[in-house]
Amino acid sequence: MAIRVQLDRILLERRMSLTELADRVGVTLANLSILKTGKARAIRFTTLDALCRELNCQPGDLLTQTPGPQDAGSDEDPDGNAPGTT
Amino acid sequence: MRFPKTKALGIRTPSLPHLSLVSISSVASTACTVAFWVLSVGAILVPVAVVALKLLGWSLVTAGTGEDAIVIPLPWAYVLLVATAAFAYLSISALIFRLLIGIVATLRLGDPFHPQNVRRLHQIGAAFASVTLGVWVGQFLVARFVRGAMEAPSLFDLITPSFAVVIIVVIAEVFREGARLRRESELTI
Repeated sequence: MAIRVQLDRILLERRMSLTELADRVGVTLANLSILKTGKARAIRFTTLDALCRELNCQPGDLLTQTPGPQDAGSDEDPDGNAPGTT
Repeated sequence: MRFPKTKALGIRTPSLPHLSLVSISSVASTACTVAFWVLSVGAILVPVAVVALKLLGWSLVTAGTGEDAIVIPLPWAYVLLVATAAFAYLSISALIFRLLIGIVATLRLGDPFHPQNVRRLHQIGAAFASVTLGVWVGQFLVARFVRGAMEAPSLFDLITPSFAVVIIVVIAEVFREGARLRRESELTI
């Protein structure tokens, strides 16, 4: 995925923990971790709005696009197999 | 071509009671569980009964009635073949219901597009195909080697079961896509 979520950097600047942000935004810590580690496939506008409100930033501060080739099948297939396995 | 309108006969059929998804899946779960246990027990009892009858001295079987009846000797080879065929048929049928129980369980949890259901549906398709083919081959062999016992099956008898297998495979692919969408939904924050 070429879209990067700069949650780490902004949390450091705001001196806020992921747990505190999760409580404020109303998203579970697990889901916020998925977002932070770049494993999320999509983000709802409501979630983005809540994050920008609590972190006092713009969506462009949170999301950056890195030019280059996309990750080829970084998710496991519906059967639960890792990519490249049958 | 327009068909003429017929007069209403004034017959009113009572509407069926509305069944919620939970009640349908409960009924399906109970039915599959009962079928699974009946077939599992049968898969053990029927072969044992066949072998026991042979051990008790059952050496002949009559096929047909009246003047067309024929008496077929039952050597051990036939008895073991029948016992094995009965075990295979009943156990594979039990496996199909076991897999259906797993699918209905995910339905009751509100998670029908679980990735395991894709595998289960493919296994149901394979089991159904093997049972159908096995029965056809068994009937063919009995008709071939035991003259007069039954008519040989034709290849046309395999058409309808083949459709069923194809339908199951298509449904499995629909569930695969559903599992992919479920995964996408899980990773949507």
